[in-house]
Amino acid sequence: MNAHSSQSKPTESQIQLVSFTVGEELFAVNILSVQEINRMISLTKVPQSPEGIEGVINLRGRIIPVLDLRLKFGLEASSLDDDSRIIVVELNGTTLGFIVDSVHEVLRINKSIIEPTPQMTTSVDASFVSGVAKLDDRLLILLNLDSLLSAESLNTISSMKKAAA
Amino acid sequence: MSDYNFDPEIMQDFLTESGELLEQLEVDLVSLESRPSDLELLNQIFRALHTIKGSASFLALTNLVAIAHSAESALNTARNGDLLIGKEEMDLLLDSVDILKIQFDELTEGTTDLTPADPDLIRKLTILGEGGTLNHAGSDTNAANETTNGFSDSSSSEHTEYADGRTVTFTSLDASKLDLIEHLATDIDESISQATDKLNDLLDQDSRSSAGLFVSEMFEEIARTVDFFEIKEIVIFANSLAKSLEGIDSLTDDHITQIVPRLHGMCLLLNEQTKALVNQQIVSWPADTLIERISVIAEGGTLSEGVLSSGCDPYTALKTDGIPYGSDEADSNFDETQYSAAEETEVAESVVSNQSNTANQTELKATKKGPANIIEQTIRVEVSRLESLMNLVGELVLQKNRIGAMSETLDRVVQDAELMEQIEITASTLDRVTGDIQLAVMRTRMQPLDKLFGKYPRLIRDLATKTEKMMKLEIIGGDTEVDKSVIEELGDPLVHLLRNSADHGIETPADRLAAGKDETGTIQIVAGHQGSHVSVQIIDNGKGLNRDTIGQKAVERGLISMEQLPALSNEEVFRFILEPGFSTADEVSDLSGRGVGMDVVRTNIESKLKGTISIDSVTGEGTTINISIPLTVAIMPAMMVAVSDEVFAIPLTNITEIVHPSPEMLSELGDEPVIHLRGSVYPLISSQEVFNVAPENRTDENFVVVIGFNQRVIGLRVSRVIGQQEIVIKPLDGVQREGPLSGATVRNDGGVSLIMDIAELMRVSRNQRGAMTGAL
Repeated sequence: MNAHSSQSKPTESQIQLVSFTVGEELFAVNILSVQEINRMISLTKVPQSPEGIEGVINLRGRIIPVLDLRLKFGLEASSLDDDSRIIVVELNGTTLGFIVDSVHEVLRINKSIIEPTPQMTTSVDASFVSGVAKLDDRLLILLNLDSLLSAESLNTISSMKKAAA
Repeated sequence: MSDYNFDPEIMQDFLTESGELLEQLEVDLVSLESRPSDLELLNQIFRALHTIKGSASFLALTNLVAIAHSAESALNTARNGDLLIGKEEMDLLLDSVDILKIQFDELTEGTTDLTPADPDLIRKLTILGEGGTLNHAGSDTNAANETTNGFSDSSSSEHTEYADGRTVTFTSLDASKLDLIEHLATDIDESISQATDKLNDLLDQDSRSSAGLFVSEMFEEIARTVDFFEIKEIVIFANSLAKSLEGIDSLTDDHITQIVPRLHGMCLLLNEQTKALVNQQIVSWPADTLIERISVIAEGGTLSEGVLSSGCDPYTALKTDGIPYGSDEADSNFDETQYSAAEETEVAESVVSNQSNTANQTELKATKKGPANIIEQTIRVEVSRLESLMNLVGELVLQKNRIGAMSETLDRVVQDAELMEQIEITASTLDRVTGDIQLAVMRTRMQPLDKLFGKYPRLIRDLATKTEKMMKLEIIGGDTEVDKSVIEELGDPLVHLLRNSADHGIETPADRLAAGKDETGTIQIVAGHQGSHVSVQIIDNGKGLNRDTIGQKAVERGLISMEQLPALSNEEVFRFILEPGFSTADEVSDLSGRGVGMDVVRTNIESKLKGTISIDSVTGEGTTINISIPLTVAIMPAMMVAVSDEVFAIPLTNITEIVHPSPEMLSELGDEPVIHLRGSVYPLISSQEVFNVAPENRTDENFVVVIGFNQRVIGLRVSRVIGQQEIVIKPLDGVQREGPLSGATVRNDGGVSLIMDIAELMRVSRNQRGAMTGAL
């Protein structure tokens, strides 16, 4: 037992992330939940779908919903360009994609540098953030996909917006 | 008992196989009621029940076995002609089927702690089983207990001892088991001969482990089979054999030399016991020494005495251990040279001929041949595999579509006529082959409607009893095959429709006689193929629907205004019964009347199965409900249309025609846009409005797709018409949505198109109209 745990310790303390930008901020999600990263392809809009759901795409024969993270974070809708990507994740059995402005890199960080969510001044709702990591030159925001993509949060977002309007 | 002690796979097999038997059982029981003297049917029921009981007892499902056993014994009496199954008896039998069903459901949910049957039910069935009648069933509980507890009473003690050490006891098995004993013997015989074949593989180091496992399983199976008959002499044998093989891997060659001949010997003894069993004799051998020595060797110990020389034959082995079997009996003409691994079966037979006093050779030979020659005509396939195959075919269809589209594009670009011809030929061959594959895969998913219909005679019987009416059910076209998903979705609607017919349609016998009808009402289910659709009709000759009553209710519920009512056709009025919560029944019975059922009918058939319902009824003569559904719901032809810049698919079956209207064809009726088409006027809706296209993106809607659905016709304005395509329907998972969409599909160009839900579209259009008339 002891030998085993000491062997696996170095990797256990690290976490591998995919980082990407939305607006001005650098975000990251655990690489294990990412299925693939695609270039932008044309979306089919679904009438009367909840806000945030941008449309559906054909992922090798499967039809999956795609949402725009910019809209979720209260920014203006993405102006899609060559850097735009769709990150496809699988979450609790549902596959879905989200649009980001650009994908940055795959990186490995020590778990120890992750700090709990501070009362931030970013545009992002704090419940979507599972922590922040300070890199050499900038701040990495770790997204909590569960709360970000759950149906409840979709609803709260739209109701919040309605309330605001 | 509350835990799953068994291999889930075994349990699953049991549930599938016995579940099917149970379904058949119910069907057969109901038909038995109408012809109680049909012995063949009776036998079939008996066998089904018996198989269920047998399998259940392997799995130690005591409560299940108890009810199955008592029902079985009642049936057995009937089979012997001592009991005529009347209504009362049938009620008991059907009750036991219900209990079994509950228990099966519990097993499916993973519990083995089954609900026991009502003791009173078991008691009554047991009384029937003992040839008693229900009339004086009052206090006869003792007798009942006796039979449920002890299966067979093997207390009769007629011992005969033989020179080779065996003791033969005659036993009398009860009649219900007697005709099974032969099957048992065949089974065991089969297991033994398979086991003996494998025994020699133990000698080889390489195959030892797998052979050991195999043989051990065989013996365990024998032990289980025999355990059911409670013959402990054989159980002990088989169990100790199975146990001795557990550690076979770890034994040295030396041990193997010692153990294999002894195991062979055991098999011979076991064989002998089985054969005797057919004649109701139980043979016991003085095998203590043998069993003990086997277990010593199996545990890796060394024998102090009784050591065998290598290559020893089983007879010598047995003799060494104190059983002089088959060696020096007076009537023995056994030739030992016959004994070789390849000729096990022959040996078994020659042993039989040796012991001609105990077994009827010809009979055994006849039963022996059975299992080996069965060629499998069907195989069981997990539904999920078929589903994934179906999905793959869907993919293939999409790719085929893309190739087709590409070859058309190429035609415009490529100048090489010969190459183009090749490409076109290939594309069209691909098209044909894909079509064939699609059809073939769809066929594997097809099941006869009888799978559903089989449950309904029971339903009608129960309904007749509850409503105190007389009615009979006629099923026509039950062999019509439809897709599995259709069977699943069609079940509930049909039950509701039948209930409605029985409860509201068919009159009481007195009313029927007064109306000059036969006092027994008839409900028919008629099924058949109609092109690419399947039609199912529920026809009753009851009192029919009453237009006035339904119309009045509809007005009360605000579904339509009093003024509009007279303009509706009979059919349109009748269709109100499909509205949620709509019921004309003044009282809610426990059968129907809440108005929920017909809504289920409509949801399942219109939305899920993309089918249509039409209702035809003549007051006083009866009602016909006509259901028409496409053969499969997974792949269908569709018309692709553009709604501003998005492409949508409309199921082709719903499209009557597509027109490019001239301005004078379009007008308004009240505030409502309409289209005039060859003298008829149809409501017109705009797809851009229905699908909320943002005003800045809207385009002219120059085409009108005329859609017919359930006797209603509407015009749907679209921007452009693109063309026909075979679409594969995919669910819109993860997208919460409202509105008239039934799914999505992938287009020829790889993009995604949404599929319009016609039933929902019709509702939208009617709501619009309703809202407008309301505003007026």
